[in-house]
Amino acid sequence: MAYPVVTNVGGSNPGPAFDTPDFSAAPVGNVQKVGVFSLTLSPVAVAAASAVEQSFAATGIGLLTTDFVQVQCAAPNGCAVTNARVSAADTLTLQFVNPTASSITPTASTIYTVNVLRPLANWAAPASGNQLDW
Amino acid sequence: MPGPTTYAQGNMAHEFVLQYATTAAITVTTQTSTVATFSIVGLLPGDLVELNQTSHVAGISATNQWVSAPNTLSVQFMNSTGSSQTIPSGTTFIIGVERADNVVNGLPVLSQIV
Repeated sequence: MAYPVVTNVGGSNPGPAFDTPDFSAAPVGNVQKVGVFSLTLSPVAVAAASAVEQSFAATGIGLLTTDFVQVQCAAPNGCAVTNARVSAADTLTLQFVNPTASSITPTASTIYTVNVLRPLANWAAPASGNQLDW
Repeated sequence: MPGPTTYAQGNMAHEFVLQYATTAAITVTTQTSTVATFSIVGLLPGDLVELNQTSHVAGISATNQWVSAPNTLSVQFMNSTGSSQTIPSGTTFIIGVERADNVVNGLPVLSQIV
């Protein structure tokens, strides 16, 4: 498949074509706020052969349910964190998968790094066409 | 004091947060993975995409996602349980999209942080 010839989202501006060091760029899009935070969490046991959610309220980050979140941590004892979401205001919900045949308790007091992207409050998706147009 | 004071630096040209709702149920049989594709106009190969599945289906996890063709998001779902599981139609995802500047053949030219 040939990569489509696209210069930018609007297709009109080739941009600076960064390939050298010491540049700065402010990406365009619908993101209002970006932040990286850390939380110290102690998840409970994850049953054998399961994928279950655990919620952590009052993170102090001020999360909104429209936020996009990514979570990274040291591999928690053999199970994996496969989804993150904001299930309620300031509540981070993580999905843990344990594919093994025995229960696993993720390591207590582990630092989880949380990347948060918050879209503009007044942004609405285009009804059709390019969803990344800006 | 709230409020940002810095711009991030790097090679990111575009950054979006999108929502998508599935239009059909997705069934994943026991202890397997399957790949579903979703049409999202504007996506390009090379876009870095991440998902937040906003509702939980016990036993199902989205373990990888990528732009497999222009306007097409592919998501790998894994079922780690001993029984078939189904993601219902209408399941909503919040999708983070990051697009590097200077992408050639679906890959950013830069290979390291400089």
